[in-house]
Amino acid sequence: MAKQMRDDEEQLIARSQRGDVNAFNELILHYQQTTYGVVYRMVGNADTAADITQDAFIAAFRAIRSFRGGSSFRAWLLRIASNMACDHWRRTQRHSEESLDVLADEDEPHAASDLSSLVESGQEANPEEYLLSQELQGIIQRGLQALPLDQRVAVVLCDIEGLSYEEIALTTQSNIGTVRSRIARGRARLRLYLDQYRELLPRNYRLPTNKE
Amino acid sequence: MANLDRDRHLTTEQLSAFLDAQLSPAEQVEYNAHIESCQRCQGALASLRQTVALLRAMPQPAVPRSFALPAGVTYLQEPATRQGEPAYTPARRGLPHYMQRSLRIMSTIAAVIGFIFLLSGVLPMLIHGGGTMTTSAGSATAPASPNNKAMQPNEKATNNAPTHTPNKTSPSAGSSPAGTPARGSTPAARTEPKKTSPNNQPPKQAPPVPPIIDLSIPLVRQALGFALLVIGIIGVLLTRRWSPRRM
Repeated sequence: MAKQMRDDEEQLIARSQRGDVNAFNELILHYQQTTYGVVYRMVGNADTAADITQDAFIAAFRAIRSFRGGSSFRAWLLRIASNMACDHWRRTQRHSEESLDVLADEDEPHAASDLSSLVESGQEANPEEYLLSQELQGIIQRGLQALPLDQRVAVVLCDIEGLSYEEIALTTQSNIGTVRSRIARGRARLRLYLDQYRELLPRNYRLPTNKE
Repeated sequence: MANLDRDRHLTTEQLSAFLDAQLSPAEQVEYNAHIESCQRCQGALASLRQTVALLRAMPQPAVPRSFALPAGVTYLQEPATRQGEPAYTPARRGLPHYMQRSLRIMSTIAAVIGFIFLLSGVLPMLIHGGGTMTTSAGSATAPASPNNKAMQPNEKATNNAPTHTPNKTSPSAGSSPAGTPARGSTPAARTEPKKTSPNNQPPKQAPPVPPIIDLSIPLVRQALGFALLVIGIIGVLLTRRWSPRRM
């Protein structure tokens, strides 16, 4: 099955390289969820993420001839998309630094006020299927956005999209050691960030306090 | 405290890699043994695991629309032209270079033919005059130029016409002596004819006109030869001066 899919993908790539938009659109259909997901988690805004994703697919089609068969098409595609998301982030961060501070200030009282509503009962029994409240999702999203770009890409690809270290290394054009360290530092930083909101976390996710 | 911890406990990177089973089997066993015996590392691992669990629990955002590209759009052509652009610029530079080259070749041919014509006018004198070689050569070329100037306006179009006919026969014989004497006459040619150069060059391409001039008259041959030599030298000089400016 997996081999069949890979063969199909190779055919679609070959047709795309000959300029077949329809073939490329099939690839887009297959990868748009992952691509959009990565970009969305990196920039944290649906409209911006949609624009970047669209631009990334256009750029990918333009550059499809430079893709070498045999390597991971997903990694190649996600490299284009994550690079564009990083570029966008760097471009817009200069202007939005002030608004980020405002956001951080807002978080504190808000988080303290209605923490009980965030912890939904009954989920502790089944942590794997735990549904994060909208607010907790927002906090985690902001925690991701607080990470340096290299760590953010690595954490998003690893822990949200579930890519292997090897594929992350391909996507970010770095070696496994670098990937490993970026993921670890990103997770540690995110843990610290979430620690501010530990009251919001469901009990089974609550971070241990023995560090204090 | 912190230093001691670092010596005895696993780093975040080690724990993170342990969590993802990205260690060698030996390391995995070793770290596992340590974690089981170390409460602190257990706690750190648990908090890391929880962070990862939170991230994994993040829902996939719904794709807001299809990102399919409009059918019939040929995006591929755009990078093709982009890649072609750098190739275009040398091509644009190459065009005058081609013209320069052909101009230079034509000028050299004209100079060679001119020299042969001059030589054919002078040679009989040398044969007949014997000892007056130096003076006759000087007088043969020198008075030719004022005459030539007077004739040029009338004969320009016609003068150059015969270049096509002697072209076939003469260059092979004359190409070897052409190089050296042409250089000798450059100082004279260099100073004077520059102003007329734009006028002199186009007639070379003029359509062939039936020969009116009698080439058997030595003076005509000399005048024609001188004119061609001057035109040729100017052509060569001009094309040589252009090239360093362009490069």
